[in-house]
Amino acid sequence: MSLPTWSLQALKFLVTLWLTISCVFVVSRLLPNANTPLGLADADLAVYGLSDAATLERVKADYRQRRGYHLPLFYVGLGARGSGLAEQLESPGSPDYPWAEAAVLRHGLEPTRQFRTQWHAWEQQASPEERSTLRSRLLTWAQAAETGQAVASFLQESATSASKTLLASWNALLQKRAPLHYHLPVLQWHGTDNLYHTWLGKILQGDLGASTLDYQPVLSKIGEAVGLSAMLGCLGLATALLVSYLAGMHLAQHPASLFAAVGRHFLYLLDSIPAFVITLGVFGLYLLLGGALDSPYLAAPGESSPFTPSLLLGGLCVALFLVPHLTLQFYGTLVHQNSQLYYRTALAKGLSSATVLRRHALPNALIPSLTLLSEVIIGLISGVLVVEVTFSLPGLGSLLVKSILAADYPTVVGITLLLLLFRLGVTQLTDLALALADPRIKSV
Amino acid sequence: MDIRQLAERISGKEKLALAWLFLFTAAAVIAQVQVGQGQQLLATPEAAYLPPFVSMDHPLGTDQLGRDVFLYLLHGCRTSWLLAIPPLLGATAMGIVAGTGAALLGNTGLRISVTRLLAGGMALTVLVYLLPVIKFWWQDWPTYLQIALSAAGALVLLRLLFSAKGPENKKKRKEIALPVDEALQKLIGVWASFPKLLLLLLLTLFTPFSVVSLMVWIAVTYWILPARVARAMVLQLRQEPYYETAQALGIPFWRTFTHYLWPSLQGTLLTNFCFAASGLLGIGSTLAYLGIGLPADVPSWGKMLATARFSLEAWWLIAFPALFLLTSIFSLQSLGHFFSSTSRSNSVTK
Amino acid sequence: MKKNCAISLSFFFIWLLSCSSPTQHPSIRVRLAQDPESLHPLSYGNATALQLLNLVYQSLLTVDIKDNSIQPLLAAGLPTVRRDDSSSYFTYQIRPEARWSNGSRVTAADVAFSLKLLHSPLLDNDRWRAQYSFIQNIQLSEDNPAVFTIVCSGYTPEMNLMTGDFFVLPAYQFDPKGVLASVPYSVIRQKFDSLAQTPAFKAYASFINHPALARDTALVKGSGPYQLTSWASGQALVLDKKPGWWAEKATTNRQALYANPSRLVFQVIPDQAAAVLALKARQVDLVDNLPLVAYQEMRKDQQYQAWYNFYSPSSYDLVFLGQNGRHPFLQDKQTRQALAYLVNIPQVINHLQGGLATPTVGLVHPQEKDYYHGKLAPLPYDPGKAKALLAAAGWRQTGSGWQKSIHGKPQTLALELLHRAGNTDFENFALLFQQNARAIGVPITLKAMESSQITDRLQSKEFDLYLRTLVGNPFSYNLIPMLHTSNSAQGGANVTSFGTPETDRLLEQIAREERKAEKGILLKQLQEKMREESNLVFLYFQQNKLAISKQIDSVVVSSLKPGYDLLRFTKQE
Repeated sequence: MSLPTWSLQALKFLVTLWLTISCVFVVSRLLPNANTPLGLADADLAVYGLSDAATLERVKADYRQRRGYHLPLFYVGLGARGSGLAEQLESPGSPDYPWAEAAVLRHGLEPTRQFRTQWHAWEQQASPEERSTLRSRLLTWAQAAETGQAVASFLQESATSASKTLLASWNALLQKRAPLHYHLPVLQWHGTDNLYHTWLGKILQGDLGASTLDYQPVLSKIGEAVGLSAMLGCLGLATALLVSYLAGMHLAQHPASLFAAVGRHFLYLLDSIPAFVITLGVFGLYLLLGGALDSPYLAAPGESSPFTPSLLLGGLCVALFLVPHLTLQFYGTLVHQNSQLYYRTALAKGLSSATVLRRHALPNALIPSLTLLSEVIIGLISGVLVVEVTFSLPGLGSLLVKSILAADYPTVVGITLLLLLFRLGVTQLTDLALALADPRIKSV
Repeated sequence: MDIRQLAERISGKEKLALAWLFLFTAAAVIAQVQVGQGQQLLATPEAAYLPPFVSMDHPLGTDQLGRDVFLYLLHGCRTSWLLAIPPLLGATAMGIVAGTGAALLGNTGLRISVTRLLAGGMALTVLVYLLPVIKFWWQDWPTYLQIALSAAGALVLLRLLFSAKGPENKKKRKEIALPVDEALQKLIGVWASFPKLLLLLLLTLFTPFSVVSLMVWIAVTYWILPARVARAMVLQLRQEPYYETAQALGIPFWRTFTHYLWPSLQGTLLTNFCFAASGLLGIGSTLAYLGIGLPADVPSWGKMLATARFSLEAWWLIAFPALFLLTSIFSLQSLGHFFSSTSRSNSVTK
Repeated sequence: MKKNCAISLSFFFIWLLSCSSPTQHPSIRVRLAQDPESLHPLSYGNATALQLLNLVYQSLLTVDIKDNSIQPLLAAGLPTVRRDDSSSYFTYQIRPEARWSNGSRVTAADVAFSLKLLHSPLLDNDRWRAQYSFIQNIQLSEDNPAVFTIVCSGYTPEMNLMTGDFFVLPAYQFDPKGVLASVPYSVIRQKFDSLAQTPAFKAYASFINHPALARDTALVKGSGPYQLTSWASGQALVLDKKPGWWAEKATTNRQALYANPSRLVFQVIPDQAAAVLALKARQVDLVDNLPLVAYQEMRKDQQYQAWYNFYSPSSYDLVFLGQNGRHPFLQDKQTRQALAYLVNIPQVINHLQGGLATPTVGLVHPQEKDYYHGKLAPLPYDPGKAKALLAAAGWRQTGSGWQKSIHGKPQTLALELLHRAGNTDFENFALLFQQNARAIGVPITLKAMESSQITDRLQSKEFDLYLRTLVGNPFSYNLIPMLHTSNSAQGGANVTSFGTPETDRLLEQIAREERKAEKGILLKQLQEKMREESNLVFLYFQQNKLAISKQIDSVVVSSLKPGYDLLRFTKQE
């Protein structure tokens, strides 16, 4: 490949990379608990040590400030014109803002302003109970888009003169209709002081950040998981490849034998068993035969082997997932070669069928198998999630799940980057291998 | 290949498989009729864990909530069917359209005049800009009117963009080529590098699960393989003399597709369909195992299996759904192998 | 050749597996359902981490889960309390024997440091700042380095525990440069924002927010009996008892000072079925929260009876059905009451929970005899009554469901029930509830969601009904944050908008009241009121399902988390 085409390819890849991780970043910032501090996500779930709403809100606001989450997410944002106008009445963080926004959007700025003045005047003379009731009814009205009956009936019941004026003002508000252009979206320019800009700047400097859960730098956190996933994958894949190769060759050489027929059916069956049944089955069998769980405290420091039982069992399960598919496909392509002209020619030349299979059919059968293999390798990461869960192996799959659930966006972005690069590497390697195996194929 | 030819080649195993799938579909239809009539599985916890073959009312026993296992499995047929067949049909259709389109149009085949592209873009922007106003404006109108109006609007917009004759047609126009093929390749590249299970997890964080959302998810995840297969095969086919002849004769595209491309495509796509469907049947149980899944009131074999995995005591809660699941997967796979072998021996481009 | 290959491959696997064959060790092996992720004493993220941190760090007071009594741990005794109009003063003395792991004394300065840490800017201490916002100051005694007084705003009875319930951390380890020592506590609280800008605090924040403090075996060390020996992330943790732990020399108030096991091994097994398999293969000594089916099966089995003791202590985990009092359909309390009559609690407990759950009429645990409203009859399952209540709330039963005109618009009653995905108990309950509601013509849609998503919906009040677990306790009846109307605002914990002026007054009285009899009367009134309002329909307190190896003596199981007292266990060789 010439340098210009190569650099064009590289540039395209970089653009894809940038687009993808930007999307992942934005999406992971929108996750439900992305803006709540650790331990405060389920604040309504325990009685002990609970704080009141004001304290909780204050602490959460501090947290957002500290982490920079109070900044806008992107350079530009969209908002209705009316919402912007409502900010003249109430600041966006205040508890009455939802009411002001709804009122302005539905009935216009001026009537809302008038009612608000009346309301605050009314509050001077009302009891605390009345105040909170009216406020909660107004907020309900803002949320539920109802006709405002609840507010009116409340004001009617309390027969003071202030309430009467307020009621009149309320009815006047309801009469008016906001101009349509209040609903037009307005593009807001937030400038470079936004979350995305900061994040991208760091990424460009090669700083992936640290996990929001345990301060560990993303690279080292992912590194551990990758190491484990790679071992698991390689172990499973190597075993699966060896077994599939042997089994495929055997099936192709003795297609009519009873063993081959039984074997084929067994492989079909294995292919249909759900993954978790296989893993639990293997685990149960291992424990039944007297196997022990990982015991890190037994290994003397320095001589601990990386091949813990759970890793081996996990590798075995991965192999069991892969073997049927790989073998059957490999066998299929081998059989396919039987009908090719060159195969018959070779047989006609007097070569034994085993030799023909190995010397002539095998290289041809390898090509589709290679493509399949690259798919399998890329798919391996999600395929081993069940294995990781069952054998408590902290690999890439479970790390990604955990980070998504905890809205740990630096880790999510890091893993996405890794997956994209991994995929690129595998496809490039496959192309290379294909070109080596079959000179006819040129990379297009 | 026509049906008769196929029927001759079919062996006992495939017949059994077809029969099972027929039963499976029939069960799904029956369950659908029952659901349509508002009949639901009745839970009577007092009668939980009734072993099979004991009571006439519950021939296959009852589960932990006292629901009839046979009926549950029947309703599970409906869920599995709904989650496998319609989304896969959709995915295959999407894949064929995208793959064939990409292969035939390439990077230079689709040209669109700059003016029209700009006009369309402008119209869309204005529409998006006005959307909140429109929504506010017609919020009191009945729903069907809103739907009808939106559909009409969409039609007008499409017409504007892609109509054969436009006002600017007579003028000499500037055109740009849309790189359809490359766009598809890129999309596939990015889409395929995400583990599907994890995409699903991300989805669950934003919207709660339902059969419909899962169907949509499956459709948008599974279109990649058909698209690839269709693209690769069409790329090969368009080099064939008969295709070039058809082009030269000016045979309309639709006819070219049905008579020249589809016969070669169908075998591979059917194979792919069968394998994908068999994989999908299994995925439900894996999801249930990982704790993500369908709402509690949607029965599924996989969920029954995953719930019963703690103990072998209630063996019928494992054996029967496993039997249903394995038989269905097995049938689909043997059909898949059958199609793949026939398509190979039948393909025009052998 | 192929055969050889295949055989050698299988031998390879078997050899590798057998290499790691087990040898017995007298350590106690406990199953954990999740990895602790972080053992940082400020920013840890889950209950597992807290359970382990409690073995490493200590607070002034603790709760002896054997009898739910408050016991001094680092403190020499319970605090002496002095109150005036606006503040209360809790004076503690630290045990003279108390030592850090480097042998130096635990002093009042360490306590002051720990309190400052809870309120320092730029740290991930948000939940502590919220929880301990009532602590105004700490005064150190001038003549005794072990004596200090904590000043709190106002007084509530649970301050007796809360003032001594934070981890006391070694200042020499967490603040070697003495950054916090130079700034008084009250200054940290008042000048929170401006201190955040100072370079000293920025440098200190990057020191504290460091992964090493969360997992390094050399740094996860406190005054507690254990230290972290090894941690294979996601797989297992080993904690070893410190040689010559200071408490062995302590002389007074020894009830809470014990640590029998010399080594604790925590196996992380996230999957329940895998945990059951490990238990059946005797790979762990203790598994809690067993799945009901497995628990019942093993309990019946002779072999497992010989290996394990089974316990099912009641916990304070209260399962309830929440109703959004702000939703137009549910604003009328009669509608909410009607839905409460659709719950068949005896059926749920007997058949879904295998009898292993404690029914309740309110949020007080029935075993709290003084406070539990025993005379309030449990709600029966009564569809007829539910229909009558719906009719009384203005709903009319028509062919297409229950209809009512709400604020001028005709509406049909149809509700959505949120529950956590993957929780079988909730799923089953939701199904039965849906079936009961369908029988009287109320359609209910079930939505399984991730926990964070439910929280989001609850906070924004976009929900109808939801199922959740509330963790109660026997010490604190300060229910204001959860039930007071002022806390139904944005961000507050009163997500169902429960409350009337009357209940607000009741809650305020309960929070202040210290006399048992009066508190009991008030709490009973509250339970009645809550029944009437029915924003929260209380279903049952869960019972923990534990299997503990028979090799372990002096087993203590409890209603309080984590449900068993590991430190009292002794294992036979």
